[in-house]
Amino acid sequence: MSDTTYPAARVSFWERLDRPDSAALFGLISGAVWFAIGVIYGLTMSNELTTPDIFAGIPQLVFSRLRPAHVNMMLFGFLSTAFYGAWYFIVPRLCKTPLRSNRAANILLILWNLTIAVGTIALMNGDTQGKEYTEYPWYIDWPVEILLIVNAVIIFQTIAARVEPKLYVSLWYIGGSVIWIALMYCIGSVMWHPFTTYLGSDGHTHILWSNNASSLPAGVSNFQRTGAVTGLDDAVWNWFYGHNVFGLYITTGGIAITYYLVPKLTRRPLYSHLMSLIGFWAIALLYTNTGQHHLLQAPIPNWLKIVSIIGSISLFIPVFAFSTNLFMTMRGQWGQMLENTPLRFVLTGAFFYLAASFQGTIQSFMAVNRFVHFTQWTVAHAHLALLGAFGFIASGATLYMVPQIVRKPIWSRNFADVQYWLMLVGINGFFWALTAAGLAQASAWVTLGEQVTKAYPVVKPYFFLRSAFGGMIVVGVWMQLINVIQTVRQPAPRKDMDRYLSLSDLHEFAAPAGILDDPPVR
Amino acid sequence: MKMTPITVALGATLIFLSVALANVLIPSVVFRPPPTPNTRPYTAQELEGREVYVKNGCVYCHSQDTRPMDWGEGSGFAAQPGDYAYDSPHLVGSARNGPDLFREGGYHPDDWHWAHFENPRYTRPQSFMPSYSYIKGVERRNLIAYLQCLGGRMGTSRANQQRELKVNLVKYYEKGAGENVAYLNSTLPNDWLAMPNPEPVSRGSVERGRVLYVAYCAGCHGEHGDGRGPAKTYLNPPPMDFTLVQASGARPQEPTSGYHYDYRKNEVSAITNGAIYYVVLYGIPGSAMPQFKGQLPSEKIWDVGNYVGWAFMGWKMEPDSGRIEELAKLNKISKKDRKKPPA
Repeated sequence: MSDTTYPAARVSFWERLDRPDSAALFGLISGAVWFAIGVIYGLTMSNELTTPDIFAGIPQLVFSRLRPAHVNMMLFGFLSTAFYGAWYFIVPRLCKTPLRSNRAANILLILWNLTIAVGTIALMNGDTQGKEYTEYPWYIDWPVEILLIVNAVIIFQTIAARVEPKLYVSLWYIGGSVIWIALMYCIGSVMWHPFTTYLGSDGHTHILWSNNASSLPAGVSNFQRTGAVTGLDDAVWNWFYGHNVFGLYITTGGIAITYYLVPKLTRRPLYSHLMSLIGFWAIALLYTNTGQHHLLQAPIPNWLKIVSIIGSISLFIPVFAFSTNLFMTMRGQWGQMLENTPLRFVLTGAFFYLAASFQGTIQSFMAVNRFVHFTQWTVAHAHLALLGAFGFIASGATLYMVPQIVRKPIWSRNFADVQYWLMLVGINGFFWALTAAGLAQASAWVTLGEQVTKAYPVVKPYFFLRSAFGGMIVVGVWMQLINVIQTVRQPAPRKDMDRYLSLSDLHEFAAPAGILDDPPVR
Repeated sequence: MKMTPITVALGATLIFLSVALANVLIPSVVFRPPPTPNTRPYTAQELEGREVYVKNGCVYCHSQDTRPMDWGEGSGFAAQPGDYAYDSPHLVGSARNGPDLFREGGYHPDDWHWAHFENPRYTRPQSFMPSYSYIKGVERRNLIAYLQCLGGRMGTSRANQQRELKVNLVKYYEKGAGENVAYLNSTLPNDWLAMPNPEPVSRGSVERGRVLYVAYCAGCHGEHGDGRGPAKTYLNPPPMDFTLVQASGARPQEPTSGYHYDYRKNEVSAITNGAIYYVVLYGIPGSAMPQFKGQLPSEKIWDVGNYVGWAFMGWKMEPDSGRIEELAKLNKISKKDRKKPPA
């Protein structure tokens, strides 16, 4: 914990960027802002499904353009920046050395936010690669890839400069995540093919510059669009990335935060080092194989499907290793969940993670998959994992770390509590409404043999329910944003701070011994 | 196991790359399905239409992956690996808020698509698809060209047949309702024109038919059955005006003393119940009338026909004498009389 108080004297812009934990604070606040914007997108889309003509005729607000904007904003806006902020908070504390460097991390976050903002506008204007989760056009892909590499450098430089010799489990996960996302992003986006090309009748490959029919000659072959390969392979590449971006980036990043926060907030040592080891290497080896279970219903080779199903089933190993480890750490301490709001967020997220992973494995069974694939069940599952599990973990991290960084008590604990219950009821209702919708659709299509069009009126009531519960989530998320901003804006650090800060003075109980201490101030 | 930064970084990278090798690189080398005979390269216009399809995110609600177990249009022709040979990017999709489009080509004529993009509720009142009225002119034509080529050569051939059949339909529409109905009747099997209606025009049947009419038909045929639904502007030939059929001289010769009405034949108007049934079942290829055979079961098609006849063409309401009463009546007739059933 930094005891530095800043004089009222003017500090230059660059000096501000050098303040300890400034990058962490920037990341966490960026995450809260993106979260608040992203849920508005979601609610808008939800309302468009029940009342389709509310924004009729406005291309930027049509459902099918808001959807990639919403998904990518949540993925690369909200979760990424909130996780970067949390990582920039965790890594220096576990390494007992300042971040190398806060200035670089701050600049990275500025550029990252700009890139995501431009990317969102591009998607809303229809500039897309057209593949799920890799929609950003190439001029967004390249900055994102470069920033991902810079992020990996910042994290590993800090780890390399560490004072604490032991590498706590959170650091393995953070180190893995920053490498994996940098590797998989360029695979998923087919970044080495930035332009749309075709093989002309003259035998040469041409770049398609303009977007109208007359610019294409008659006998077009070997058409290869920007950020894509040709044929069904493209789907294979797409979904290898499409699942790993959650499995080896969001999941591992969120697990790292959970592994830090739970022992820290409960003052209990982590239950088992061995389980952490099993969990980490198993997630690296097994989660990577699951991508093709998105294509179980498409005519890809059977051996690929089998690999993905085996990968999905063996996902039980890392998931249960992590959950057991965490819940055994909590044994005898569950009462703290009632008192400590950030802890409650994080543990609820861990429960949702267990539920979502379990559901994910069940979904990958052929018999289940052929029933629920293409339905709203999938949408429910995605929100359970990303909002229920990692949205909650990110919120918990934000609500704990922002007061720690600014050394001010949280502006309103009631706000945080109400936010928790709104989000909890919201995601539960949302999940069950969409699961019911998915089962209704699946029953109509598969069991009764009805055409897809017959299920329109069937799902409509569930869509209204989704909007209602989604509205609760939106209110909760905006309460978090207000809470965070007001916490930072409070006049001055308070002397009796430690009474308000949850448990920050009890390091000696954290485990492994002393490892969760705060770094020395440079 | 001692975890060092080198262990983490090297282990993470090597594991990831080896799995990527197995899951991505090996498939892209060994999995090279040749195009199926039904698949052909896209024309320039279709590719531009595909761009519009990608740009507007159609893939988020419409899959392109017909499965063997699917019941939609094109069922029975499940997707083969080679069907995707010319696709870049892939548009397999992961959700079906709307129908699968992999075999969509030719199931609807171009003008149906045009009206549908203007506002999907014009042609499909229950749809929750957004309005794509902002896709205009050349862009919408290209998009429709792309949709009509889905399904490969089979889809293209269906779409071309639709265009050919449209010529005659327009010609006879312009000659007036009487000749139009006569022409349409001539395209139907005679057995179906004379098919007795198994479902009496009862209060219940008409009520059920009304619900179906609102959900499926009103967008084109209009709520008053006058063919002036919101989609009319975009369709050529326009939807049938049932009220005009009733008022025209298209009715068959009537006995001098009012109607000779037989509910099993419904000989009041030129459009018989059997004709309506057949057309709802298979559609009128070339016109915007789609086929409903995958969507409405037999009884509901008779119901909607009864509603159209009763509400717009002057058919009389019948008491709901079901099959049981009918048989009971038949039973009372002596065996000798039964051999020649009453007229």
